[in-house]
Formats: sequence, structure tokens, C-alpha cells
Amino acid sequence: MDVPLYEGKSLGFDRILVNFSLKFKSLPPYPFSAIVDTGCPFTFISEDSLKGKRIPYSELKTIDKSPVSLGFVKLDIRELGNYKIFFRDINNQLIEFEHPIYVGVPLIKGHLLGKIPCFIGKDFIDKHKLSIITKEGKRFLCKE
Amino acid sequence: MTDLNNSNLQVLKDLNAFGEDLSFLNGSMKILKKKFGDKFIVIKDKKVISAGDTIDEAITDASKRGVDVGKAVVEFVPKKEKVLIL
Repeated sequence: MDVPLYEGKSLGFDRILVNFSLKFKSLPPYPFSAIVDTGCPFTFISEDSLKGKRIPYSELKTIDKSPVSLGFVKLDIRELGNYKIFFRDINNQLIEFEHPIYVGVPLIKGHLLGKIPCFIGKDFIDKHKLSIITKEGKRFLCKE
Repeated sequence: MTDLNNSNLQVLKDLNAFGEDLSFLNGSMKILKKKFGDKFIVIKDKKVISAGDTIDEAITDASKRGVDVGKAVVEFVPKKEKVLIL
């Protein structure tokens, strides 16, 4: 599998991004974009990205290491649970993974970052034995 | 074709449309900054559907216009980028 990655602006820099769909219980899968960040310990969806989707998050359990800081914004990290994530590969096939997903909720409303992005973290890369590789100047998420 | 295949096709279709809307956003950022600087916008089918000072305002407006916000691109358009090293 080769899942195409792309560069897009987020938090002031060009970042490596990927699009995916998240299937939550009986709801239809919703599309998201996320920064692929091997330095981020977990995979989380931002509260901003959940707005307009019917995925509930206010009653979720907060993890012990909360809050974590994203720049100057402190985020409460809550456990959404183990859910299916779908990526589109270069052959327009869906690639499915199951993974524990968290939700990042800023402790201060009206923070100055605009929209907080989602992150595909090191946990995802490690668990599913993935690596980011470059072929002919294009980046892909590939199985090791 | 099975229901599962139909369901997968819909996911692919939604992902592709979402990707195209994100490309529209990235490619039009200069123009969008002039028109919607420091606002949240909702994009669907490569069009700006709504804009608001808060994300809730932009989403509510887009929903009223019949857009399935869950499948739309919702983004903040900064007049000046806030820069973060991760």
C-alpha cells in the first residue's frame, strides 16, 4: 500500500498531511485531514475538526497525562476509543486500520491558533508498521 | 455489487471530494485571505459556503444552507499566520 501524503499549510509552516475517514459507531465515515507527525506520541482529532460531525466527546475520559501543550495552547486529551480509519491509496483503494483515537480539547476557548489540526502520531506509525518514504519527489505512507 | 462495496465507494467519493476542497483552499489562500481574513470558512464543492467569526457561526450558517458540514472543509483563514514549531 502507498498512501499519498501532501504538503499543506498548518500552524504557519508547510506540513506533511494526509486525508482519512474515521468511522465512529453507526455514524457514516467522516473525512479529516491530519499532520503526520512522528514526534507526536498519539493520534488525535481536534475538537475543532469534530464540530459539525455528530461524534460526541464531552463525556469522554481524560488521559492521565493531560493536559498537553501544543505551543501555548493546553489541550485536554480524551479517549474516544478504538475506531476504524480509512485511507485512500494510489490505486484508489481503501486501506483500513483500527486504532485508538483521542480527542484534543483546548482548555482555553478563543485561543489564538485559529483551528487546531488533527495529528497522526508515532503510535499509529509504530503500531501498523508504517514509514514515510519519498519516491520521485512525492511522499507516501507505506507498510514496512 | 455488495452493500460493503457501495459503502466503500461512498467513502472514497467523500475522501476525494474532501481532498479537492482542501486543494481549492490551499490554492486560493491568497484570495481567501483578502476576503475572509481571520474568519472561519466552510468549503464544499470548491466553493466558500459560509464564513464567520467563530467556527460555530460558520458551521451553523452552512448547515442552514443545506450543506453536510461533516463532509465539508472547515478552516480558519488567518490574516497573519501563527507559527508553531512542533
